[in-house]
Amino acid sequence: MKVTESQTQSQSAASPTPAGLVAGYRPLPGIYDEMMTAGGGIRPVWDRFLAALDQMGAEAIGDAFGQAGRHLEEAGVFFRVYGDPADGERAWPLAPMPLILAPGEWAALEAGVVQRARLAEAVLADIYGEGRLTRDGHLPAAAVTGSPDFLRPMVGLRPAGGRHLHLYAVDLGRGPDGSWWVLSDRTQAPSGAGYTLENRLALNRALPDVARAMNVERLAAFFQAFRDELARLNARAEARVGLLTPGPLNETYFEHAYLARYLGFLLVEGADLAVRDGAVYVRTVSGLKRVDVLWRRLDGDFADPLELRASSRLGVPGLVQAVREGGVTVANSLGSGVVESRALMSFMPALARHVLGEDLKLPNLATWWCGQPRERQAVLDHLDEMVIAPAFGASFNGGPHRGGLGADLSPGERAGLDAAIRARGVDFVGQEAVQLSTMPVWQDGRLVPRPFVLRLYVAAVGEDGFMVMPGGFCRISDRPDARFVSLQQGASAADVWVVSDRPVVETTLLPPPDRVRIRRTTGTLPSRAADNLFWLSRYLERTEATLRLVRALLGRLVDTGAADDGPVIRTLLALLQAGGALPETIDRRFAARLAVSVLTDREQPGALPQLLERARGARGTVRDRLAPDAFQVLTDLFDQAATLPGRRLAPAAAFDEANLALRRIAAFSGLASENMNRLMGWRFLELGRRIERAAGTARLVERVWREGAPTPLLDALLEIGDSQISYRTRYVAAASLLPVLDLLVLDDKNPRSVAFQTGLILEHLRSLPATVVDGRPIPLLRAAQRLDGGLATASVEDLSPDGLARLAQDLFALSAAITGRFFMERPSRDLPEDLE
Amino acid sequence: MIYEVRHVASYAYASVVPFSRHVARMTPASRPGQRVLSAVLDIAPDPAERAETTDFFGNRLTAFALDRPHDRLTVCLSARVEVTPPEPLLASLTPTVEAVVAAAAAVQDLGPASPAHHLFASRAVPIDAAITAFAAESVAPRRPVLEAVSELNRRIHEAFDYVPGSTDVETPPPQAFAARRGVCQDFAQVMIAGLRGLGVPAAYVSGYLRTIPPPGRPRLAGADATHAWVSVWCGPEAGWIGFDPTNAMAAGEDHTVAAVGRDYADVSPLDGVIVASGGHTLTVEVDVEPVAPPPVVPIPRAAGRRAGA
Repeated sequence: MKVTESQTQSQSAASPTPAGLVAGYRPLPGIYDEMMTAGGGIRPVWDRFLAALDQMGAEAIGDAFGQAGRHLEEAGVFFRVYGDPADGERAWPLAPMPLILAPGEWAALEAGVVQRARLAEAVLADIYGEGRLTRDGHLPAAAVTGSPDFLRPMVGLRPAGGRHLHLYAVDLGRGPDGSWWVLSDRTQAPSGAGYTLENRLALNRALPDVARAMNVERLAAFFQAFRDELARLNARAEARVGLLTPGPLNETYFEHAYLARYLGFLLVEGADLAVRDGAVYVRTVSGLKRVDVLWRRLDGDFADPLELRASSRLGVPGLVQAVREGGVTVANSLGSGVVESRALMSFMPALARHVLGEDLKLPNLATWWCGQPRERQAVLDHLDEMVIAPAFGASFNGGPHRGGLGADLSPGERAGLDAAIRARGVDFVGQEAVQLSTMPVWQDGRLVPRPFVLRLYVAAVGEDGFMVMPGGFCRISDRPDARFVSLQQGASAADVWVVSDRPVVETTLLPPPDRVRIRRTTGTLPSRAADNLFWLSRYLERTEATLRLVRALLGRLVDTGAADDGPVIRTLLALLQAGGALPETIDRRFAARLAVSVLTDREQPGALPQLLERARGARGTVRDRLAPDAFQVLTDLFDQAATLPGRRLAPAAAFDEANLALRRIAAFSGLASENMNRLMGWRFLELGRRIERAAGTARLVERVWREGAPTPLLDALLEIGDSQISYRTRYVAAASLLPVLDLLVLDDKNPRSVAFQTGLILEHLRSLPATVVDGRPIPLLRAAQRLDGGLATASVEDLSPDGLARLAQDLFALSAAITGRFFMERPSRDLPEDLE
Repeated sequence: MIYEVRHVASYAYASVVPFSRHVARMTPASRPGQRVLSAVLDIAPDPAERAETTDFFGNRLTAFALDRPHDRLTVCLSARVEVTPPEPLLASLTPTVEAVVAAAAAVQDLGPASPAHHLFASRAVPIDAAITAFAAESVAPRRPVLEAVSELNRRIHEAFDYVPGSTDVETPPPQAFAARRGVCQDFAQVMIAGLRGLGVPAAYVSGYLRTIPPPGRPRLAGADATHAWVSVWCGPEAGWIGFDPTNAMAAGEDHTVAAVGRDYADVSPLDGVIVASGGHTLTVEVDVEPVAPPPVVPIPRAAGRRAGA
């Protein structure tokens, strides 16, 4: 059964006179438009929607759509563009007009994509099972073996639970005659489902009344079913479901973090996982914890450097062995990507008849695989009318070929392609050139038609059931004539509304209580996340200390006109040098210029650009652990820092920039302690800050002491140590050494003192798992106790510059011990660089 | 011919390794042309986990993990293998190259011996226009495939210098081809790239060469380490035939197969992932000696039992 225009219009005739919003809207000549017929009538399902919009008026529509965009911005929704020098993070490009699908049309689409999912599952089961389709002549071996996603170690392994595909997606386009076509299958690790949720949230917020009045089908039940299904694969009550991500540099990392939070899965990278005795564990600060199910967003080939792609740094060594031994369920199965290839598409219509005994309900984009003599000849004979594409994978093997419509190629390119197809036909397919249908897109206050591709999702349910997400992911070209749509090429995305004849159920379809097995595993803190939180706050604290030095320096130069080479200035410069913020050789006559360079110099490891670059690297991997507000404040800080290098800052302007950055760091500290629930992640964030602050203060005091501690320098020290007010309230006299030492080192009531930090370090370590074993503190905890006890019992007379130097060393040793105890046992190249 | 094969691979690590996981593909398997009489793979220190499997291509694979701190790993194969060289074929009677190309694309077999696995570019062996053109001079569509491939095998040997140390395991074939020099892996991969570029299935073979040649014959290149050569699919009847471009000969009585795959990545003798900060050094020793056939001891005849009696 084809889904045709006549069916979509079966409910009532199109309304004849477009007005209001659609007054200037015209479908492109010869192209099907979702909203408007060629004659200019509005298709029935769009009528109510447009009426509601018209009531709002153009200005209110603009406001509502703007609000949708702001929602996404505030939620921090982004995607990544590969090869973009500016970090590649782009705001999510929501096109606020939804694609609207009528109930009758939806029912036909639903049946078509379920059939397609069943077919893909059956073909996978055969390819990795008996290979009968090949043996009996229905599928040439070379149409399978050419795929880089045919993973030979998986042959003969029956997937746990019996199914290869737990989430299947399919890209559809609508042709000029109004019928939908399958453009490609997505069986590897389909993306976009999380963005679909975000698109829906944004639109619900922008047009709440319209969405309700239209009876738009809800998405939650689909995700619930998908989640239950993965939970069902767990053998044990305690088991965890992990979402295996390639990491923050992946194009759709935001979606991975978002879905992990939404579904209650544990977000893990390959380096977080370990295989032991055929089972998979996540490395956490509480030791190894079993993971029974992995929903992977990593290409199968990258999943195990031992038995699959050896160069992969993203995978889990031994994962294939664990799958072989039945210790873990990977969804979708490793190797499921093999049925995505274009070569396979050419066999789908015949395979449907052979395997399912049915014709395809949604026709397949006509495809000819040039590995067969007759098909190759057909492609060569019609090169001009066909789109030539790689049979497998994204790019052509063995030649600088350019694909696309034959007629668009230069004579040289065309001849080269012709010869290549004759020599190695197995590498090529010819595909029918299709013109995609268009949908209305809101642009500069009016609607314009733009071509799009519709992605639909199917979840496996139970032994052999399927559930289709009543909605989808719509990618829209930004040009009217695009034949190919990809977010990597600057397109936008729209929500998909499946409207119902009846009011939709408002509540989500919660499962019966006995089926809820997964819990939010917020108590499980992967070692990598702990490591990154620890270093994030160490780098931020180091930045803060550096900024305080810069501010003290600039304050003296700007306000008091102090001599550039006075003893205070000299010491402050030396302190910045010691921290790596200034080079080893400097010209002291230009103290102000040097102070400014700490904000702008990309070369110095202790200057702002490099410190914050490291902080940002650490933040990237703990996105799912930070409160959105705290995350946003850091974004502001990093954005500010990014504008500084290369600018010629006046000292006064630099002073203001330093102040602003310090305020942002303070805001982050406040938000982190207010908004992060005080689980283990917060402990590590705290530990990093406290250790860095304690060691930094000890070193600062040591240095000043060795300089003879003249009063102006002690004043500067109090200012840098943020303890001027405390000092003034206790002592009337000018700053002198012993009271300053007491205040900054020993006074456990002063939040900037070393003793205050060691007290907190001890408290945090005590509340971490297994720091007391068999009633005895582990060495790490004992070391912290010694440090804190030493400061608690010391008097000012016991202190010395050498003693302070030792104190700093002990603190760094404590940091190393924390690393060894909680973060280690993973490839060391991933460890953040230590500046000590 | 029966060989005693000994292959020792040792890693020395610069710093102590707390945990490591490895896969070894050193143990030969019985396959057409060879029979494994005995094989033992010793691993020191003792692994915490060890699993023996057979991979897709029928290679024997030992997966193991060490969970105690170690600064050295030694894997040692001792095997006894009987090698029976295949009957030589009459080259002129093998099918034409174009018939082989057509048959390979149409083959109805996904099994381990199927030529379909070795028809495409692989990660380590891309298809390269220059190498394909070089191969095409010998491998013409209408020539008998065995004759054509033998000539290519010889031409690679003649055009290339065998220079140990001039390349490493990751040198891409186009680079070795441009320099016209390399070691056995480069010779093999250039030949594979050329054949695949023309649609002829070609597999990568790792294995062992007899160390000391028989009297009167020169010592073969590549005998001190693991060797690599090429297996070419010559049509459904002739099947897979081994060629050693490094020594310009057919793979025969001197060649013991350790593993077969699409390229080095499929057959790498010892792969591992370690948790360590320092570097490592790898030493490899290979020894292949013919086992003297057992002496034929005449059985004394019992008195009074004479033939025909």
